[in-house]
Amino acid sequence: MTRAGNTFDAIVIGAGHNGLAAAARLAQQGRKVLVLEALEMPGGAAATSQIVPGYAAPAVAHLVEGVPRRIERGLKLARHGLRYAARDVPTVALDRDGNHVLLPNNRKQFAAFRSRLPKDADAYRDYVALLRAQAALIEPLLGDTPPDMNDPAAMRRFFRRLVWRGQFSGRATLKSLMQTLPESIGDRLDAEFTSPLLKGALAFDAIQGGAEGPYAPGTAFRAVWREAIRMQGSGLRQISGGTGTLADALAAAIASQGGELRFGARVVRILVEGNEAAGVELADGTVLRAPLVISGINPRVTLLGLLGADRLETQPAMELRHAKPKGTLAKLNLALETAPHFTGLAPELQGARLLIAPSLREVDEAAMVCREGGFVSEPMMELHVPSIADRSLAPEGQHILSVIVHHVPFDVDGGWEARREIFVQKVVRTIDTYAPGIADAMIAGEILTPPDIERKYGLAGGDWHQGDLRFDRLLGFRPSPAFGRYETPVKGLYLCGAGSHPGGGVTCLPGWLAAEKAGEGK
Amino acid sequence: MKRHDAIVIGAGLNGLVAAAYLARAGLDVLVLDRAQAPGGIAVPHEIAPGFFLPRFTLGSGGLPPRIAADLDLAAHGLRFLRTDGGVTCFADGRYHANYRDGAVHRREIARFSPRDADAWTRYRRDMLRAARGLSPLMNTPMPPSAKGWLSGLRTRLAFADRLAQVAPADLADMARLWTLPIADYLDAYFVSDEVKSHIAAAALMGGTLGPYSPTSASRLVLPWLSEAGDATGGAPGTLMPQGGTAALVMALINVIHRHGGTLRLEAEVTDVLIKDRKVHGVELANSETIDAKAVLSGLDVKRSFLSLFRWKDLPTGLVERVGRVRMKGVAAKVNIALDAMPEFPGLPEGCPSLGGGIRLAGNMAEMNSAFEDWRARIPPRDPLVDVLIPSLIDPSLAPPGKHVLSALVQFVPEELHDGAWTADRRDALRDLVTTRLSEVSPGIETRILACEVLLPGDIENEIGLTGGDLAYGETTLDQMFANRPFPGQGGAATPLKNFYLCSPSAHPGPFIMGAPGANAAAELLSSMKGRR
Repeated sequence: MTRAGNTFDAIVIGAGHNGLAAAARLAQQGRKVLVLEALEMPGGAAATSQIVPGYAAPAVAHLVEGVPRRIERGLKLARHGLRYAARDVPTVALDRDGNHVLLPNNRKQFAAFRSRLPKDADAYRDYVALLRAQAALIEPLLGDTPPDMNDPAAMRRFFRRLVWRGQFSGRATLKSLMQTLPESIGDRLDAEFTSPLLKGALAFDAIQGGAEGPYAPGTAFRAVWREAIRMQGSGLRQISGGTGTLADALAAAIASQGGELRFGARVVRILVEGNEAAGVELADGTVLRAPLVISGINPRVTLLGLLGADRLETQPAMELRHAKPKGTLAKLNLALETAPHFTGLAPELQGARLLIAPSLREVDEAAMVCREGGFVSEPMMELHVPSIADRSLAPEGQHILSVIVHHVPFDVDGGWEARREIFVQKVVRTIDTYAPGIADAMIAGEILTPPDIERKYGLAGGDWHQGDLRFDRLLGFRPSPAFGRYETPVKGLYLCGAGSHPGGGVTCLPGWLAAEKAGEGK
Repeated sequence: MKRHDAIVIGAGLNGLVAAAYLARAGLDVLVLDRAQAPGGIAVPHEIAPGFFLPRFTLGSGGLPPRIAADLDLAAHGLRFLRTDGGVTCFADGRYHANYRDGAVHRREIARFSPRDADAWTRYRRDMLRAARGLSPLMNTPMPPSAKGWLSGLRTRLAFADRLAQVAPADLADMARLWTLPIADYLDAYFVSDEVKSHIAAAALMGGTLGPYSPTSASRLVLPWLSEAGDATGGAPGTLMPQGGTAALVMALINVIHRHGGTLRLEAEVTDVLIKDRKVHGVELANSETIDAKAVLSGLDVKRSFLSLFRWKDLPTGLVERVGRVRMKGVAAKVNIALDAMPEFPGLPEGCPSLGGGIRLAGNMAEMNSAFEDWRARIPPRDPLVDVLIPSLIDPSLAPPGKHVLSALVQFVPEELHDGAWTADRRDALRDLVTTRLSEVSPGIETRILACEVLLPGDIENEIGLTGGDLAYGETTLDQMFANRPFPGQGGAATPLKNFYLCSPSAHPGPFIMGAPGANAAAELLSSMKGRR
């Protein structure tokens, strides 16, 4: 390889959807971009996994909050193959006795909801209306680069704009947000609703992906943030051909603009000259040079592992060191001979997002047990049968069941070697309660514990959100004040993964916004 | 019949402070309490002849200098004693003391980690800065919620501007302090488990959060609120009134009397009289009615509204709002009379911090277990205990050579997961506490002359405090500041005209002694001056 062949305008570390989005945007601007991925395929956790040949399951994420239209259009993703098999996928809270609850999205669904939960119907309508109003207030923040905390004028504009919008959305909204911010979702739900199933489902939604339980302060706000992410991304969707199609479309967009992707290329060091990014070094010793280096992998790995703590100030380095990522989600993908039959589930809801979270108390228990290093007998989980809406994922008449199990400890008591078997049993038995005969219909399956997710998809700690949603890790403070707004202490080195604003969820926003920032810099 | 300017229900500390301020301003004030002795939860209790301690509270803490000066309490003989801030005793026999002298305190930390001794300066500086920022908020009444679209907008824009001026480092620090769990926050400064547990233990006392709970870090600032930022550089000290709470209560009553106010004991208010949504007096248990222009309640918010009024007389929705306020009993009180000076062989001879209190604590994980046990309503297995032996620095509280021991056992649930507290379980708790005490002070159990354990349920039954919640309402952020006592309505004024809350159920909660009372008096006086 000639020297020129090892020099680029920008190098992106990690071909997760955010890294790819960043690369695609930079390539579009005419830069010579190289994406380096340690694994053999793009997408990270937003990929498709062939459990057995002919059966394509979502690697981890099965439904996405949706990529904002302006990004889809901007990167011409539809042209590069991005399609949706289902939009506005509804959520159903599964009931052990088959009296499931569909969380309503329109008047007709609401009428059914009211007859199912007469005592909670009105409260639910008010709850959702307030949630949406609060989310609408903060939603614009999620689609923009956060304001520069060091610029008082920018901060002033930022806060004033928030106040103005709050004023016009109704006084109650901004005021209620100040109460919601520190509240726990558990307390909120206890105050508003009576149905254990409804409370369980709403609590599940609010705390998903995080380590805290539903009674931890600040969890009510997560529900608002998540709703705002959905608004940014125009609703919960299923990607045609599997979640990996998004990564494929992004990769195609990159290639169409002359960008390059290399697989099996693990970066071990970020090169710095003076205080400026100069390129990267791979595991095999190859040196690749670029004045712009953008990393989509976990900030802790990027900054402590690839860059080195000596380039960071004491306090941020110490905080990073202590914030060891520990995912709490496990993934189960099953190839089934027949469609799973959930007792009592209406046929048109077979392809819905199904939640097993029977009560707030059980969600709390599951979170607590996980914190103590174990898992409950009937884990909380989210299920989806993508093959209902997308026939291409499995052979005729056969199906895929995708399950995300919550509150699973990274370091389980006794070690995963010993506990894996029991864990699978418990998960399958729980699903069997709701969909009898599931075990018999299994052709093949894969189970990924948090450490497995870390290994297989290169996600530090198996944490695909790259850090909890916490107030001190939001906006310009994500992942920390020293590394907010995609910037790092090193000129030309940027962060573009879920560890940066606006956080996790498959939206491509961190990558898109980071590329904008990086593009400005040079 | 005489019509008073103001009636204060409850002769607790805050009620007395409110009454003192009002009397001093020239109002004709009447304080009513159903008990035989004034003091509320801090009522001085003679556990054995000559042995005095507050019945339900620990006995430490001081009035803010502003209040003491306003009410001229020094002239009424009130002094506060200040001592080094206590020592934490761990189960393995190790201990960590607080010293007000910076050099001594850093040396103490260095016993565990020299690196942490260095970090102390940074921690102290950040705590003082946070306390300086927080103190004005805690010490002034909440501004009334702006009425009107335009004035509300103006207020919020002004607030936005102020927020924008905060330096990003400070904003980041504020964000971290108000959102992080104690454990994570301390991890950014210290390495040693003992150093962190020592600081955390103090912060957890009286709260309903654990060391890993988000937002719990804000509790770390509390001991610093009363620090004047003196140059000594050490840890905050412990304050207590000389002569115990009896002296404090007497001084306040003196001020009330001096300005023409009245105190009536054994006078139980059963109803607050309301007509056309305006409060105009009270009715006592003996059917006597007393008129007043304003009524202040020193009772908790739930008791104030739910038991002093007929619910149908309350504005629509108020009962539900009161119902949503969370009050959870979290501590049991232990009162002990000791025949002789307890010994602490594991602590240095004549340790100056001893008088400031002794905390029996475990490491972070153990304290979190205690918190989770409380949430699961399991009887404490390895409790966190806050002990004060005030007679060590105030000999007037016990006969010569003898002592009183006041303790709060943290994370004791009101009810157990399988029912109410039985006599057996209560005894087990008492034994657990005395065993734990004897681990740090061998032989103490042989010196016990009298011992009583008051569970949250007992506190509720005796003094009428809902849930036995000594904080008068959970102190999580969604129930603080502008949300205390109700979301969006922070402060003493209530939806009922002429009715005010002067208890810690209102802003700023239990953290600043006398502040709720002072705030209520200020709000009442201000509303009398101007019509808004």
